[in-house]
Amino acid sequence: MRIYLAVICAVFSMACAHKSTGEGVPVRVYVLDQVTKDPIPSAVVRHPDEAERHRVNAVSGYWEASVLYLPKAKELIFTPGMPISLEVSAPGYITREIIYDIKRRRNHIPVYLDRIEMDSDVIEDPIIQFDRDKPASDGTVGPAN
Amino acid sequence: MNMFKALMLVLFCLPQVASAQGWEDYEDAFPALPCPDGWASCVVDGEVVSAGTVTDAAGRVQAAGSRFGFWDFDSLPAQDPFTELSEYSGKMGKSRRYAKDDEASDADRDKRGKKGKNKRDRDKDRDKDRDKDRDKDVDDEREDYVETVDEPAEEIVEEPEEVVEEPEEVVEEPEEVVEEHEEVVEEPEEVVEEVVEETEVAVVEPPSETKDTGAGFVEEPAAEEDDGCDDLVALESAAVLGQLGESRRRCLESELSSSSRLTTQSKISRVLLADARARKDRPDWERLMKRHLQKIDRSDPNMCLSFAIHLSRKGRSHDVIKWSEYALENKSEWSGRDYTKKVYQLHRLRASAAHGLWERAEKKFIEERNDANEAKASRYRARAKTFAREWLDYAKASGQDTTKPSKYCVSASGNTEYCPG
Repeated sequence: MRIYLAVICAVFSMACAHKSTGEGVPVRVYVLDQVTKDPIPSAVVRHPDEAERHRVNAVSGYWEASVLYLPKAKELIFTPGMPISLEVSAPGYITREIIYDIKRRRNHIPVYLDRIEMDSDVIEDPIIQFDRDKPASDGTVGPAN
Repeated sequence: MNMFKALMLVLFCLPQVASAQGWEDYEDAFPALPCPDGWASCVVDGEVVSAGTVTDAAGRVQAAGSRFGFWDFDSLPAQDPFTELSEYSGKMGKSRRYAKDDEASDADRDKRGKKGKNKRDRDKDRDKDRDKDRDKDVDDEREDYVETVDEPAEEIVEEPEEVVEEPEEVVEEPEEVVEEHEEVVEEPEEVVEEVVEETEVAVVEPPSETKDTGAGFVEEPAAEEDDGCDDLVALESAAVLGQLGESRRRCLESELSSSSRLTTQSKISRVLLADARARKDRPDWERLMKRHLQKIDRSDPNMCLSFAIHLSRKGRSHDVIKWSEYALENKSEWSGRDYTKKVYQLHRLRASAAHGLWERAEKKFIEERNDANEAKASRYRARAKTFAREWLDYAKASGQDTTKPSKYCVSASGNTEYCPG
């Protein structure tokens, strides 16, 4: 009986300790180029309610977290089964929004970004007029007349 | 009855004869200058008309200056006011004649050829006139000569008596002109021959410089050298085709540098720009445009826009933003569809350039992580976000495509809420 009580207390205390640290299920987002499939080192990931943007690892190209800190001292701990919304962007790429249901383990999310076509449309060059003298008015208007 | 008439006539005439002083007192009856061309004497239809009287068809005496008969209204010798000046057959200082007399001019030309100028002088004159002839200005000058011939003749007609001594001097002047005129007339045949000779020489022994470039090169500089650069409006068509040529470009450059008025500089600069653009000489065009915008005038939004487009192709993002903003300052120059289209383009150029700068700053920060690079990347991102948002706002307000500005905006802000499509 004593043994059972000790096990229950230990499990309960572990659960309480785990909850107090704010740790959730780790989620890892890989940001990759749609064409080359290479990691985009300058990419950032952000939750819509969050003010801060999280840079990906420049070498591996992923960002990982198990909890997010929102405004007004709120915490968003990733727990299995919880849907999570993220905005993934990078300079020169089209931003993507994703919604992901967190699993118990191996939450690896690849996000492929398309480049913004910078010069797909050719801007028409304006015609530059010659600078000619404008003819004077015929003198029928004005205070002197 | 007849006796009565004769008596009355005698009585009527007696007092007048008594008071007569001379011919000038009877000028109405006996005009001093009866001829229609103003001379005191002339030959009309083979008959001499002089101060005095003439007779009409019925043999009645009329005043010599009367144009029509008093009794029957028939024409008299002095009727035609357009009768040509009768030729003076007396002795004059030199043997001269008028250009209109073609037969006489041929004879005189032969005489001058023998006695007058020698061949070398004539060749010089011919060379001088050949350039004029090439430009087809000779015809105009020839008309001027005719006018100068006619003018003194009319003046002489009005004041014949005073010119009695002068005619020789006055007449000489137009005739010298006539001489030149005749030589000019004579030119074309010889010029044609010489041109043919020159081209033959050029074909047989072309100069070493022109061998590679062909015959077209031979003609072009000659045409350019003759042309000035004062008339900018006349140069516009050549500039649009990129055919100003080196000499005229140099001329315009010197005119531009010597002019103190910005308006004149602007006009010249625009002609040079049009020429450079037509020649597709991008470096020269860029140099000219940069000079125009930095030193002459930057108030034309079309020029700023054009330069911004050019710089965007070269990837010079800072300058693109700079000149786009100058163009936006003067966007009020445009109106209607032109306004919305070009303002949209300017926003697009500016946002794209800012986005490119942000992208480069991010790369630099990744390569070299430090606070300065991070701050710079953050600053550039903020600017890219602002410009993209302004582009998006304008696109929405003007009812134009918001797809691309929205992408830029969301990319820079990382927030779809900031960039409502």
